Amino acid sequence: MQDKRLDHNTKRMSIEGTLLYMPAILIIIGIVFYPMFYAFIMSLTSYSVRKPVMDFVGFANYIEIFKDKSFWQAVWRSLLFTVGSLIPQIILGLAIASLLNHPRLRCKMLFRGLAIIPWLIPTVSVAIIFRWMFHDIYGIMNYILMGLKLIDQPKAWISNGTSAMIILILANIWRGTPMMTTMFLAGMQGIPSELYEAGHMDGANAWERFYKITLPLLMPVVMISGILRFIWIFNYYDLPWVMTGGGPAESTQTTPIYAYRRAFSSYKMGEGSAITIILFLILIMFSIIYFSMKQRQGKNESW
Amino acid sequence: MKKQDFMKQLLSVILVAALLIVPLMGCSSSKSDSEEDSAGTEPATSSGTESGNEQADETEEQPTGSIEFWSMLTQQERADALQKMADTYVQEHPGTDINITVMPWSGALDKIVAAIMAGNAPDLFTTGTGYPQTLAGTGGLLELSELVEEIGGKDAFLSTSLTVQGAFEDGLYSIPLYITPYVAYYRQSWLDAANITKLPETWEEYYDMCKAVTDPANDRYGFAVPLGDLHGWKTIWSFLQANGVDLINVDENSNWYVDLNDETRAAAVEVYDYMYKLVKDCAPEGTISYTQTNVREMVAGGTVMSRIDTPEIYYTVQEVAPDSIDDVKYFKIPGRKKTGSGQGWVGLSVYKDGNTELAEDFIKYLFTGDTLVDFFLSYPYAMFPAKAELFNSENYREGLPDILQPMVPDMALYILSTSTSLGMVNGPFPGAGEFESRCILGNGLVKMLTENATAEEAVDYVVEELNNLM
Repeated sequence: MQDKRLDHNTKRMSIEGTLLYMPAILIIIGIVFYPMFYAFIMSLTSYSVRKPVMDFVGFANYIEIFKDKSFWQAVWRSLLFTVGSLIPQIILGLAIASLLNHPRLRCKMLFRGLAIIPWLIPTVSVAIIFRWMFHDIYGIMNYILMGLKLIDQPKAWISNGTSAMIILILANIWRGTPMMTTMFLAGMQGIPSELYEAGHMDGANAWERFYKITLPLLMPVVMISGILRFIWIFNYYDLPWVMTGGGPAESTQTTPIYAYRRAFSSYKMGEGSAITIILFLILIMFSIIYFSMKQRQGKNESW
Repeated sequence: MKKQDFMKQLLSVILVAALLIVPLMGCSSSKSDSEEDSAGTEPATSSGTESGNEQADETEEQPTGSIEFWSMLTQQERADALQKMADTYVQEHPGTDINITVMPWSGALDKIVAAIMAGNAPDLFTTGTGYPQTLAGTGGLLELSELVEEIGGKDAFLSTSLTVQGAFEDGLYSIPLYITPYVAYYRQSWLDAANITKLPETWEEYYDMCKAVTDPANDRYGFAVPLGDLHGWKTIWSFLQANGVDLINVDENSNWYVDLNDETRAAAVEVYDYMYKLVKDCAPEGTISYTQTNVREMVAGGTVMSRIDTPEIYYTVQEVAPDSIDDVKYFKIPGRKKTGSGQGWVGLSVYKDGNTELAEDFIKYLFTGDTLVDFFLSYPYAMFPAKAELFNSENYREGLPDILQPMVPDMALYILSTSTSLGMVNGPFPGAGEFESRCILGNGLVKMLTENATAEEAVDYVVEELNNLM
């Protein structure tokens, strides 16, 4: 009898819970899944703004995209931009977090606040600032580098494909490092101080304590932050667009810019949708890695 | 316990119902608002539709209701002038309202396209080069031939401003509001210092002039072109036109194609060779990434002497270096096989499913008599009347600043009568907007400057991109 009452209560609570989270599910379906589904349908059509007729073409758009060398170049540039930004962000993030977590650091709150400032500046402003800093005539970087005798004449940094990509990565590192610092700092706060004391008593120096205590215990945070940042940076549109417009001559055209141009400059919505679906599938792979790692981390913690 | 459980259940149901009903209420209220708007207007039909006959008896009735007007004319002076005209119209036509939203050109075409696709486009909006050809294909623009007849007919508008730039296939979809000629600018003091007394009339003389004043060690350059944004096409297109290269043509079946034979291809290669030499020897290295604003500021600031631009550059000079405004002068772009130039262009288009009668009536009002003269004079460097009679209006000419007096009317009319907008030599090319936004002409030159491509390779690139666009 008691079991039956328990079952009945459980069932009722389950129904109540379902009713309470159903609106959130409906909203997610409406604003996430429905647009994705519609984008997929559009990617199978020849829809163009100039002739708004949705003729079914199957996977022709995907074939067209895969045959376009500009697409592969854009993917390569996105990978270059992402990996080139992410690795320094992780290294700098770890270094700065270690400094901010140092027990002897005074005015911790002040420095932690200052460290987050680049993250607070809007991306468009960052892009414009870096663009002006590296201007060939008015830019301060040429002035500084010429003063230090590192270059003998002003360079047009953003007018060259290679240096434009480097400047883009620099800007992204500057902007994204605070985010990584914050995540690593939070992870470091969870490492027991007794481990450091024990290490100190065993004669480990600062580097050994970092390498053998901090890094192994922080690795789950580093991996998960890295995966998430990879996904975010790969999808970045605003920084490259404002800073270089994808130029010079498409040499910094990343995949989101390529998708935008295909959809809104060429008005080929079908192809634009196909590119976003392809991007989605690429990033889904990384999301699967993220969730697998999260699950593994959960299992390790439960042990 | 039972009462508590019941209250929990009831609360759950109420919360769920509230969360579901609120968005539905929002949707239904916005729908009823739009129904109210349309109820207060004449039926939103275009001229000559099925209900045209039914409205025949109502044509003498003034259109009423409200219109949403998107304007990309962001400068305060002309935004104010446009608002003033709208306010005057509203005062003279009770029961009407014109709500002007000002926004920048950047992304404007995308916004209009998205609005048309969503079914909530503004009733009236300004259009730029290539906009009518892109938007007409969406089916969202009202065909305006009858309106054109009411405001003076096709011949009332200068050169190709209406029949090409405002047209798509066999229809007219945008009324030209203003056009601007491109000329070459220079600084008199720089030429005096270099002992140059004659203005260039050939390409070679233009190159020699720019080269003579170039001194990179002192940050002085004879020339610059904004290859970092879409405005680079203006210079290259002007020289292509001057060398007899049209690039794009249309056959009898209305199929557009890249039109280059051996002779015109050689002419295009010659243009790219010339541009490469001009930029390499006379422009800052960073010109590859400069935007139009950057180059205007550099001309105004005295770093660059010459560029090809509309008279709008004088606003930048006024802001940055007002003392040097008399030093910055202009001449016609040197021709070669013929006079070459380009023209800036802005028009007005009407959304097919909006309050079309009020929008058309407002346009008629704007083009009545000298109504637009004060508007043109509010920002005279950037706007020249597209309607011939306004160009010749004494009120207009007398109100022009001194710097523009030599240009108006003869030089401007000559340039505007021989110039075309990008890709529109042989008609309203539907891909003009895309041709511009993809920086195809500029990217060809950039490849020469950054990848050591030859002029032939640059032309091959342009042809390939145009073929993809077709």
